[in-house]
Amino acid sequence: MNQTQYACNECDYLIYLDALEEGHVACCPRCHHHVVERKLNSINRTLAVCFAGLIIFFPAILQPLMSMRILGLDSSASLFTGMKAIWQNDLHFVAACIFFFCIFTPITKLISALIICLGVKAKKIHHAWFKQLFMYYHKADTWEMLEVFMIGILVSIFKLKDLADLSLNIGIICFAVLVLCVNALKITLDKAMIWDEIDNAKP
Amino acid sequence: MQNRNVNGLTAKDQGLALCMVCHQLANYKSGENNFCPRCESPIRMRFKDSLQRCWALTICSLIAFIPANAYPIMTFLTFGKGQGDTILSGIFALIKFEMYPIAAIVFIASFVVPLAKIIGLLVLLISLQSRKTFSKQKRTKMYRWIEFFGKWSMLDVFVVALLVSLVEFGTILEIVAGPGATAFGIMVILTIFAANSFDPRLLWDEESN
Repeated sequence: MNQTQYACNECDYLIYLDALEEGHVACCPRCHHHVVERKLNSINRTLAVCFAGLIIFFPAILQPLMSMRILGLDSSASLFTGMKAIWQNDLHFVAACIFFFCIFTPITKLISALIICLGVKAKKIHHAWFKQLFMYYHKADTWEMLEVFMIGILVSIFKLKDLADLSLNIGIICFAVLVLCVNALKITLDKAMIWDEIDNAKP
Repeated sequence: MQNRNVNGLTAKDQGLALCMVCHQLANYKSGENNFCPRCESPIRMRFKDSLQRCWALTICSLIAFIPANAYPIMTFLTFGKGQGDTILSGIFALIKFEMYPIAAIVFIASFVVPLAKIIGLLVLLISLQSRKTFSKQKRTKMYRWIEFFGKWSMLDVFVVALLVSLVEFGTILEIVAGPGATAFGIMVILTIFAANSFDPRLLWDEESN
C-alpha cells in the first residue's frame, strides 16, 4: 500500500493524496511547498546519471582545471591540488571542509544513489542496510557544494585573467559535467517513491 | 477529494507527527520516545528546542562573522612582500580593476548573503517570540531563501583554495591563505546548522492556537 496521508514538512498541513501520476507535483494549499513529486522514469534516469557521474568523477577532481604562465613558469590547479595547497598552508579545518563538501559527499552520494537504484531493480530493498543507506542519502543533500565550487572557478578566472596568461584545461569540462550529474540526481531520484517501495517490500 | 484538503487541519491537531527523514506520518504519543515506523529514526512533533538552538547558533555565527571579515582571507606575495586581503578589500580591489559583475557576485555571495542570512534568522526568531504578525507566507518564503542560499557563502573559501594552488611561483609570486578563511568556513557551517535547526512549522502553529 502506498502512503496516502501526507503532512507538509514546512507548515504541517494535513494533505490526502490517493495516487499521483508520474510527472505530477502536489503542492501544499497553505504554503505552496512541493509536498510530493512523482518523477518520470525515476530509476532508469537516476542510473544513467549515476554512471555518467562516476565515470567523470576522478578526471573532474584530479585533472587540472586551469593553468597559468608567468615569466616562463607554469602552474596548474585542480580541486585536489587546491585542497592540498590549503592543507600545506596549515588551514587544516578549511582543507577538511573542501574535502568533505566537494569530494567526499558527492562521491558517496553518487555511489549510494547507484546502489539504491540497483537495489530497487533487483528487489533487494527489504534489508536494513538499504534503509540506512537511503537515510544517509537524505542527509548528504545539505552538504554537497560542487556547484558553489563551479562559481568559485569562474570567480578565480576573472580575478587572474589580467594578471597572467591563463588557459583552461580539460578538467573544467569534466568538472562541469560532474556538477550537472550530481545536481541531476536531485531532479531524477524520487525519494517518496522509493520509501513507498521500501514499505511494500516488507517481508 | 478537494474538500478533504481544505479542512484547515494540521498533523499536530490530529495527533500525528511527521518523520523528518522519510516524511512518513506517524501516530505520536506524548511523553514517550517515538520512532518512525518506516525508517526507525526518532520523531518529534517539532524540532527539539528549535528556538533555543537556532538563537544560539545564530548568535555564534554573528560572532564568527567578525573575525571572518577582519582577518585576511589571503595574502598576495610578490618577492616575499605583500599585504593581506580581507573579503571586503578583495571586493574593493575588483571594483578598482573595473570588474563590476564579478565584484557584485563576490560581494553578494560572501558578504551580503551571510549577513542577510543571520539577520533573516534573527527577524524570524524575534517575530515568533514577539508575536508581531507579518504574513506567514512571506516569512515562509524568507525561510526558504535562507535555506537555499546557505551554502553559496562558501564561495570565497573555494576561490581562495583555487588561487592558492594556482599561483605558486616560489618567491616571485605567491598567494597564501590566511586565518580569515577558517573563521569564514566556521561561520558558514554555523549558519547552515542554524537554518537547519529552525522549524518552519512553528511559524504556522500560531494560527491553530
